[in-house]
Amino acid sequence: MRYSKDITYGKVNTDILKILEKPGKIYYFLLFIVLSVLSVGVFAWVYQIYSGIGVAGITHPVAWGIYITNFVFWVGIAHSGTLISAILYLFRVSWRNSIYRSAEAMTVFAIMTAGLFPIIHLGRSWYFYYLVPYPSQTMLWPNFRSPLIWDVFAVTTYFIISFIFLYMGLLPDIAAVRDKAKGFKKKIYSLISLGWSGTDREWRHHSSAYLFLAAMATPLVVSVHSVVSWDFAMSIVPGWHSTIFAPYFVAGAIHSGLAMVLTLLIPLRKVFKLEEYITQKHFENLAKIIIFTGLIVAYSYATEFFIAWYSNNIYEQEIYKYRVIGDYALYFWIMVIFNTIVPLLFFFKKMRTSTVSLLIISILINIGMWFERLVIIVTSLAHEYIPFSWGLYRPTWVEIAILAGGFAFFALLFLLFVKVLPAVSISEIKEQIEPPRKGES
Amino acid sequence: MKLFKKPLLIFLSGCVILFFGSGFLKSPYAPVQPIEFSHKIHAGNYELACLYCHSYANRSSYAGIPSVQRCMGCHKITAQNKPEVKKIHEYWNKKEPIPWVRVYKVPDFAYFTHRRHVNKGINCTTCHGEVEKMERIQKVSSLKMGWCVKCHKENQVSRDCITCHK
Amino acid sequence: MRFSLSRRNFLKMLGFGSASTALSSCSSEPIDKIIPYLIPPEEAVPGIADWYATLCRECPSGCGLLAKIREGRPIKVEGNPHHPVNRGGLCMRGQASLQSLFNPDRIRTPMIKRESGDFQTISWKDAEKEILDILKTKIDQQKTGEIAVITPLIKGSLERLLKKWMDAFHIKNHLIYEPISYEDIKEANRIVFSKAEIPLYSIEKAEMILSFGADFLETWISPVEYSKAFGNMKRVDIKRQLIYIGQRMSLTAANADEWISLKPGTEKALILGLIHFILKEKLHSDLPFLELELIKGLVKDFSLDRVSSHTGVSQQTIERIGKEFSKANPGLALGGGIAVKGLYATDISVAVNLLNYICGNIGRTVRFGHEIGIGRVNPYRDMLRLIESIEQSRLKVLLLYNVNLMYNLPDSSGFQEAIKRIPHVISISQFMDDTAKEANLIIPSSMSFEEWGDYMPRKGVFGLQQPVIKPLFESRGFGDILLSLVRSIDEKQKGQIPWNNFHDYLKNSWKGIHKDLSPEIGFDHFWEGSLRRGGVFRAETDKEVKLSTKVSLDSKIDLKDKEDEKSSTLLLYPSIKYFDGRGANKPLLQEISDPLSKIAWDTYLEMNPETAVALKVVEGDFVSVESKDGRMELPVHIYEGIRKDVVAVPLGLGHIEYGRYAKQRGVNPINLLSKKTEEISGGVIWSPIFVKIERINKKKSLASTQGGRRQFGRGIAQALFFSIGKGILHLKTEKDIKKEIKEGKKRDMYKPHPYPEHKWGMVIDLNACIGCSACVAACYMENNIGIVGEREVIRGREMEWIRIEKYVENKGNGLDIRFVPMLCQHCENAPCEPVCPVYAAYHNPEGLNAQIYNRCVGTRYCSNNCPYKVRRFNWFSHSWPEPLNWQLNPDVTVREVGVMEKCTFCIQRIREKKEVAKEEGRRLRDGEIIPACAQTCPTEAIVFGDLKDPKSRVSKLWNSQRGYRVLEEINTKPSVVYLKKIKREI
Repeated sequence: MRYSKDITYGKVNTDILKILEKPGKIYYFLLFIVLSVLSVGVFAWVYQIYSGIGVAGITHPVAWGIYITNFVFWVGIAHSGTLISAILYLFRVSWRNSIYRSAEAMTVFAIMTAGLFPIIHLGRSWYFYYLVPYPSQTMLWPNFRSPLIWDVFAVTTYFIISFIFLYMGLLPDIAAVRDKAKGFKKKIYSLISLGWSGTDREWRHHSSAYLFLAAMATPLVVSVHSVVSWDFAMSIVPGWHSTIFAPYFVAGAIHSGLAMVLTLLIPLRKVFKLEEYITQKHFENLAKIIIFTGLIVAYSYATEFFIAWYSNNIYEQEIYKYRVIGDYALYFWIMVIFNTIVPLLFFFKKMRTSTVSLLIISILINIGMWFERLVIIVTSLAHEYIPFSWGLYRPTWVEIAILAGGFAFFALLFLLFVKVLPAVSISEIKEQIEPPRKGES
Repeated sequence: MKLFKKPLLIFLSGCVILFFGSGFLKSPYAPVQPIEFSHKIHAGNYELACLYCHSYANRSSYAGIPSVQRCMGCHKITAQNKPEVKKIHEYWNKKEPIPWVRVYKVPDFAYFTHRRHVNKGINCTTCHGEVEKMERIQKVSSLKMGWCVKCHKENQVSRDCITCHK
Repeated sequence: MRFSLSRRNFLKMLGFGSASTALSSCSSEPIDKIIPYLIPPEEAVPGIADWYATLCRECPSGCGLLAKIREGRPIKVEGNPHHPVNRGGLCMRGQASLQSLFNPDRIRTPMIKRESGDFQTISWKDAEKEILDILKTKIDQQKTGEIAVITPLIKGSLERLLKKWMDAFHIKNHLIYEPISYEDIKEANRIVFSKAEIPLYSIEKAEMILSFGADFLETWISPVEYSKAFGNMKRVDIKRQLIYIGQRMSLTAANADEWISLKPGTEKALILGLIHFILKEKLHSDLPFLELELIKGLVKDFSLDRVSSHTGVSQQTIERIGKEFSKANPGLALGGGIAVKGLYATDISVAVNLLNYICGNIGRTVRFGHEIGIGRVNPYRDMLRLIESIEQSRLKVLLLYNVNLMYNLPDSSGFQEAIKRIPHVISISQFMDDTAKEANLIIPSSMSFEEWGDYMPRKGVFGLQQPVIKPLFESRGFGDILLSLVRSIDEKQKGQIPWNNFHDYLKNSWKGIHKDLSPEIGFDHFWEGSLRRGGVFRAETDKEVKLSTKVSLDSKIDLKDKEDEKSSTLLLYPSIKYFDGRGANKPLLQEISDPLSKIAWDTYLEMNPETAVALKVVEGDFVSVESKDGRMELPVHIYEGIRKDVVAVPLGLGHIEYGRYAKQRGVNPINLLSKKTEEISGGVIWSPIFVKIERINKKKSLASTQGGRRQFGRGIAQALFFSIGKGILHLKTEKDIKKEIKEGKKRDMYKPHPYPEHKWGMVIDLNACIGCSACVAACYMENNIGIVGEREVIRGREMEWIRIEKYVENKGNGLDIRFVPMLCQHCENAPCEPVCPVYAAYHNPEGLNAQIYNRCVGTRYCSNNCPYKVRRFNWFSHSWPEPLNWQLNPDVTVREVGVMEKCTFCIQRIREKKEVAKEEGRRLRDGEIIPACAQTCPTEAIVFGDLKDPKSRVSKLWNSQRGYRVLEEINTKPSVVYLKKIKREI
């Protein structure tokens, strides 16, 4: 797609680098809120480690709760980043150029956030390194049959690849920043720009490497969340043990991820006046994909119930009955409505094009997807095989605080990112506009 | 970039040396005991059998620390004027046990029994070192899991976890 | 951890060892002379457990114990297999008894009350002087009539010494007080057989048992003994039936084949109706004409139709029971005890006696001449007399020994006021309980584990109680206290009581026993033998009894049983956990949930669902319960096993004082009782109490360990039904079993585990399991399981490794309650193992699901993936307030926060025995390794052993016709097989 005529190379540079200039009041205000929330979260975690995991609401039989919910949720968020930046790149979808940068950044930060939660969740967090394969004097290795170990690998791989991918994309832009920057900043930027000077040779290598990484990242989009879903699918817990989980989780992940991209881009665009670069068209396209993913998610829900009924397995049936009318029915209905009904509104052009409705709907979807994870985890555990040990789960303030802290952590990273690195790709936008003729700037 | 390399190299190698070196630099743990009891004299010069004092080693999981009575058994008469021996008499008269400082401690979650090892004919010195040469008793083996497993591996004995952890 | 104590304490322990050996050389402390059970006396080897025989004194049954001693501390008690009362079994209170020895709230020194009302520590010398001054002055004033001594049931040497001692001080009044007593039975036996004693019931001989409110599997007279007998009775012939008649489905009723609920206060009518029917139908055993006529005369009014309309039990039922019971050869009718102790308590027992008599059970299942100890207790009437004399200030000195009158006597008795008017209350007590608080002088008495003693639960059973540890605090045994008091008065008395300590006295009095029983062997030999065995036991011959000609009972049928229609009837029952309240200060007993209500840490009012609906209350809502004599507020527990017009409350909680665990917890329903006593026997009128119940605006969540109440057809607790004539229905045939095994093999994708040496397995016979939860208590004590307290239990975080699951079924015999002991099933395809990321959970070569605590990081994945939900997580680190932690088992790691734990089949016991076998160079014997739960089980429902050994008991039971595995369809292949319960189909 084309940008408006009056955008020139020079204008792109100045406009986008403007984002990096000294922040305004709003920014500092946001920063303050984020930091304070984060500090509450950190305090909660310290308190939990100090006085025992018992301060969280998780109990017997519901031994997994909000922490694992968050882990799955954030890993999900991570997905659409790669989807947009890698897959759409391979398919040469031109409109991705102006949004993929922030999406990609979002991916990296989401994984970083996600990575925290399994550790927070551990009964003895200080021994988390037992999960890492390293040669120790005890001559013991982790159990490679355990899905949790697969997680460790899947998530780290995903993090490394998407980080490099992000960094590669950034290189030319960092160089651009370097050229504008002065003093100490210049030193730093020149260091991390690895002496990029934009010669043909560099560009040739860069683009081939970039293509290669995109190709590498693409399968990860599918693999990572499949592995995460196996945490559940590989167990024998009724309501978890199901073959549909992998595709179902991936779809859900992209669903939530796209919603998150919207939730982030809309304010970003507003605050930094990037209307010319991030246009309605972008949002509309995203909205269209969301309709699609929403439908897949809806289909998966339906299938789950069908299987439960068709399998004629009393444990399965009990669980699904319980989800709909049991103690957690509210969460269930939040999940169904927000994830499958609400996105359908995008069928109306008005909804797709109005920033407000886009923002609201995207946020609702995020909430819905978070609850999806909670419902899957909690309801199944609360109502397992042995009726005598059925039980309920009530989150405590510690879990809520850490949940909020997680969001704050993510937001903080993103806030810092937009101020130190170009949140919109300069070089790739340039690819989309008329190259300057002699004499023009 | 060249500038960076040298100091970095030095720094790294320094770390490595410290990390591995620390093991050798550390001197073995040999705490001061309430009574300067010398294994060298008892086990070395007089060649007392270990089991004479640590009499439970072949019967129980603990080797056992000799009771004051056991000490007095000999020292009522022998060497009673020696300053260290006098201390024993003090404890005996106060009817108090001697608060020896523990040298070898297996962690609480690990179960170790002297009985099986001693009766299998494993020499005390294999784990406790040449005690008969020590003035003050000192810790010669780490008692870390790796150390246990190594021996169990060599001797083809059970490496089922709950043999030691329960 | 390997030593439950820190390094410092360990040194102390060694010190203790050496110090005591040192002392032994000069002085002769009895503590150093104790003889190890079956092991030649030698100095204790640290790390090697010694076993000493002693007695359990948690209730009057007087079971024998073996105490396991490590480094000088008792760390576990088990039933003494030689003791004829409990024969190796032990109830949960017995298991928890070490928590009274190591209770952090014991009285540690003598104390005297100051004017300000708080207590001040004084020395023993001063304390004794205090007592002597009081006694002496009374003697001088010739007013020893103003002194009264109240003790619990003490028998044997201590009792004799007390008599001597009282003579020495010219004291006349001695009351033996037990809150739960059976004077009604005793009295009835006097009336019917002119033999005022409580007989011995041989339950295992009975072909059919009719229990009229006798809850003999819970607390009635000698529960462990009777549970054992019940188990055997079921094993002899699984079709033998127990029928329970009462308003509430007690634990006994839950294990009965049939529960017949009848209108409150109409038991007598029903029994007499039965007699009437049996006589009418001439089903009775042959009786002399005169006796026949006599009995006929007594029951003439009780024709079927009248009885059935009066009791609300259908005529067919009465006929059926009558026919079957008279056919049973022999049968056994049980009655008496709290559940039926109302206005007509004695009459009911009289009726029961007659029923047994006409069916010829007397002398066969009801045997006289054994003088069950509890028969010696003074009735409530005597207490009231005592209180009266206090009120008339004819009583100035009260000497109390281990009786908690303030708690156990109802407010209406007036004792609570009266005690304040006595100038001198001397309490010789172990705990600062409700009563000790009121005393002017408190003398700390030793626990049974710290003092010498003996106890005769019945004729011919001489239990010997030897100390297993030196007194932890400045306490002394009651006997020693008495002796030292005597010693310090004038010479003349000393001549009569020359012993300086109770040990000598005991030995001396056992010389008498020695003379009677086995004079042929030398005394020392006899004494040592008795110490090893835990006493001497002789089979007493029964005494013949014949019907007295003066048999009589109030044979009106129109008993008005209700004062007004609105009020409902309240039943009180002694809790299996707290008994009469003395269990309340043990955290373990508080933590374990009641077998029926599954509620821990609280008192509650049991209410029928329909009543609850009528009152608009739900589980946990508070109601006010008001009788003529008291009012209290307590939460409601909905229970199907109780009549609409009846509510029930367990005894045991609601102490004002009694240590941190009991204080201000729950309510004490005893205060609803009236001052009235039953005319004939003079016993407490426990029921029926008529109460008004009103809903009040308050609720709490009860600490229930139960989630779902039903099985939803998941076949967790399975049962088979039989009907008279036809055998057991749907019993597996050999062919089925073979088929099962074959299919089981086919189902597997992987090849089976090799199991080179052993394969541990367990079989649990649900037909024997009565749900008493003794196994749970044993498990806690053996495995250092943490106690989490009420708040955490409410959140579902109790740590029990073995739990008794209770399910309610409505098919078969109306209400059908089933119990399943659920513990780690040690599956061969264990879902918990593959999911653990760090190999903390893994399958060991002997078929155990091992859990390595120090490797566990606490992902809790294994718990999610365990279909049996038997894995327990340490949400916090647990604490055992000093000295409770002295009881911890040094062979079991104390788990820290954040690790998963679960049943290990008592791996420490397996390892120990394997080591011993290795040392002795032999193979393990079957039955050598017994997990704590199997060991304590009063009904021997649990069998553990090696499945690789085809001759082992467990292998024999493994493919039983009644066998099944829980959740077999998910093919986890558990190593625990359950044998289906057998119930009678009506």
